[in-house]
Amino acid sequence: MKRFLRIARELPITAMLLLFPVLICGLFGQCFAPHDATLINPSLALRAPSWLTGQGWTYILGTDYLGRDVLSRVILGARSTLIVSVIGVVCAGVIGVFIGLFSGYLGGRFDLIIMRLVDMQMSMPAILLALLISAAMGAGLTAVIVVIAIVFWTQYARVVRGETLSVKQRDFVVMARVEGCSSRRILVKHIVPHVIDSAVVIATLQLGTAVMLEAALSFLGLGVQPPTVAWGKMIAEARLYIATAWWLPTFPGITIMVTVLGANLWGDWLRDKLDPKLRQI
Amino acid sequence: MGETLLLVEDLKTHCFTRAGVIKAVDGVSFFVNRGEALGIVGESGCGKSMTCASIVRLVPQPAARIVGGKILFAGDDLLTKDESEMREIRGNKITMILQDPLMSLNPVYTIGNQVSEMFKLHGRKLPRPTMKQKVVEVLTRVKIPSAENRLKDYPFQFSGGMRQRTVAAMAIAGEPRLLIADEPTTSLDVTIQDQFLLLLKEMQEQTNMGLILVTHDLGIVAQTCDRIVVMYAGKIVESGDVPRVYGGPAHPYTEALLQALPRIGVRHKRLFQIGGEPPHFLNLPSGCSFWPRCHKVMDICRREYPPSFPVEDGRQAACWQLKKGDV
Amino acid sequence: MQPLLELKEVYKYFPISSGGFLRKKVKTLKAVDGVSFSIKEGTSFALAGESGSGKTTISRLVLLLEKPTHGSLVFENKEVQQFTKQDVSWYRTRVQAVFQDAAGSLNTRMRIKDIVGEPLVAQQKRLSPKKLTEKVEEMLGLVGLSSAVLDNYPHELSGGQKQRVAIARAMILNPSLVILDEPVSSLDVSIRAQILNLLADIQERLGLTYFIIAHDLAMLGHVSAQIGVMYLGKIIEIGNTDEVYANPLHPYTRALFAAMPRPEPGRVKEIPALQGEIGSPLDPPPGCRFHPRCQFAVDHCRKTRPLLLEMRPDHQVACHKADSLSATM
Repeated sequence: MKRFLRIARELPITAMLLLFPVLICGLFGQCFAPHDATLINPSLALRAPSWLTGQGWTYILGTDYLGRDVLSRVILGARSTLIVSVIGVVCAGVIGVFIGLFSGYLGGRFDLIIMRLVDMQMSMPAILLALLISAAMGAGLTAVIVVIAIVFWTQYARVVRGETLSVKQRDFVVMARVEGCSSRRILVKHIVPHVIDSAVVIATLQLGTAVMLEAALSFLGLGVQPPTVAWGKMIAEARLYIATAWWLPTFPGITIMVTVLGANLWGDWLRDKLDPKLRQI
Repeated sequence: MGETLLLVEDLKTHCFTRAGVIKAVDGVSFFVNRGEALGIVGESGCGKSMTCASIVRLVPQPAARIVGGKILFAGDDLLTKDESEMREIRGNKITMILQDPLMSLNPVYTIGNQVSEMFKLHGRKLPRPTMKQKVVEVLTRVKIPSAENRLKDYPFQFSGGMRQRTVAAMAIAGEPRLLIADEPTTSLDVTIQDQFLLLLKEMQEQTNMGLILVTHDLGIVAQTCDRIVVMYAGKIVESGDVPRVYGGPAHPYTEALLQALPRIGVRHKRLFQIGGEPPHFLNLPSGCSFWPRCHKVMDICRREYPPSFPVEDGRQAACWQLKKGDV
Repeated sequence: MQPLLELKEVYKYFPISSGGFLRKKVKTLKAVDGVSFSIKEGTSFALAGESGSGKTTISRLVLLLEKPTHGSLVFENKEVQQFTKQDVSWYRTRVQAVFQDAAGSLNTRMRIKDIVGEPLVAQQKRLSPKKLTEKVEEMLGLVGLSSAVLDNYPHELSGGQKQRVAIARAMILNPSLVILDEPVSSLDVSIRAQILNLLADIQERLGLTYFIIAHDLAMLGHVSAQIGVMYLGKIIEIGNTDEVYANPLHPYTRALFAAMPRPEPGRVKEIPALQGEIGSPLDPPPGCRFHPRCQFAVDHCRKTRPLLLEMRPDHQVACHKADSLSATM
């Protein structure tokens, strides 16, 4: 119990306060959104947030150009944002960790080739990759996940490879070889537990970036397609209305900021907890 | 020998951790005279490094603090000085050499640069050719071959022994009155260690400075030091002249340490072994800290910590065995 | 009687390349440069030397962590070079190791019971969990640790306890040869004797053969029956420990003995301190490796490499001047 309380005292309260609402919205949004986020009602179009116009609590954050309730859209947008960024980052992580592990463990030519591949990919701008992939796959949720996975795996591969190289030299890994452990056992039991920390930290820090990438892709029209709601799309759609209906881009913008900030703070805390050496990430 | 250079009286340095207070240095008193080498011997965690850090007031605050005692250097109590006065003294009148020369030297500056910085720091800023000459001089003093050609080298281009000698050169650049060397040869090979210890002795004899050599190796102290102080769990358990202490140690810990060493030329079936493990500061035994491992333990040892009893001229040991002699 | 382990003219060279995709070979690190010795079963053989001597590389060769560039290893009369994968697996049950840094050789994420039991699992001995725990407890008892530490993590143990765990782990497969690489140099002085005595007890009980690598001549003199002194990749003196210690013939060996600090105040050193740096195995001096630092070096020493010749019974030295030097002793 004491140990639990001690950990609880050290949890990043700010990060959790920021992320918790986003998580709830993502999981249970449809339960408490006040209106149907996709219901089109042209007669209600472009209403200002109701607490400003003194119209009570009906459309708290206003409506967009198709009369859809902004609040409900913001709440529901959390879902696709979370799905896309979490799944995307996890996929990137799995690919990157695998490749980094094998590259570091096997070394030699294999390692050399993989690292050049990594370098080549990292020199390509993410947006260009996104365009190529969307062109091949068509826009949509899956495409965004694939884009995130492909853009982000390289960071894991680099870091995990480096860590694998260093852990490989440590005495307990050498001893494992002397004991007769198979390569598989060495990787799983000895190397992975020591490199997984960095991977987790990278993942949490990438969440924020993934959210922004999704927003950028939606902005370009390559992200999720209607009727699915996504924050980036909301901002994209609000392009024409910045001057007249300020509430349209502002609220989704705020939620993106809150999510990214929360994810970054959480990632920082995790990194400091697990390994101060990673500060350069 | 010379007059007393450093007199430490009842020094107490405590570390404040979440788990409790660690009395790293718990009432330590000793002295060093001019031209004399004092060896501080003890195992890891006995407080010897913290004692040195306390002398130059580089105790890692706020986790640790000097909480009591006096450190008299050339008459002044160092504990009453403020930070700017201490800065004047450090590197100038009292210098330190640490264990790992790779850590003591900055990898991105040349050797010549780092050594000349020592001169600059203590107000000895000179025109460049003179500075270069002084640097070459001090590097030659520490036996770095063809020092002139090596000024532009970086630390990684020097061998371990040469790096440590560079650190020694930087230490004596300020012509200090007291040099504290904390495990200076632990990372060096045996033959290189031998060279380095000879160098320290030479430097000491040339400048008549005081030398404090901190180590766990009783052999090094025997060959380099005039007097010895043995520490255990934050306290001094024995002190005195090296020949007398080695010839007939008064404290059971010192005696056991000497007996447990394998000797060249003597082959035993089993080595004399000291049981148990060095104690943890948060879990010190009652009474004398050494009693659980002592082969001469008596009843009173478990109850009360023994005071320092005098043994012979200048020798002292904190052991109840010595009181027996009185009775 | 056949020796348990024999090294015959073993060389290990490491190519140091300048990197780049085309891998140009630039220099050769001659870590082990023609070493031969044999270890009899049930005895302790020591290799002494400073950094760059090659002793660590030899331990890695014996542990099959590296392959020799030339030369052969023969273990229990079998040629190690011709080992199949299965043979290597078998070899690993016969040859184990204890390393210098006890903390580093234990996986910090594993519990003691898993660490000590791992060799059995790795070798797929297929023991039931109960049997496994029994065996682990038996080993812990052998090294003087109570079963209370089974569930601990390494960082919860002291340095001495960690080294005991490492020893227990090395013994669990019942090997015939154990490599001890600086087994006590990272331990507190007051517990070194405990561990050395423990190792001696275990050797007697289990009839083990020890191959010890260290730089502390006093310790090696106590634990070994045969000793070889290495310098820059070659053995320069080898023989019965007591004999070598009583009559060191090679100038380097004599310098080592003189340089070793001893707890004898007022000791006058037999010979003055050695000058110069230990050479680099990247660019070893021609002829006798030791000639740049040797006060007795002559022209011959600079040109020709001396061979190991028997100067006294069970005592070989590689030095052109050994004859004349031994006459002066």
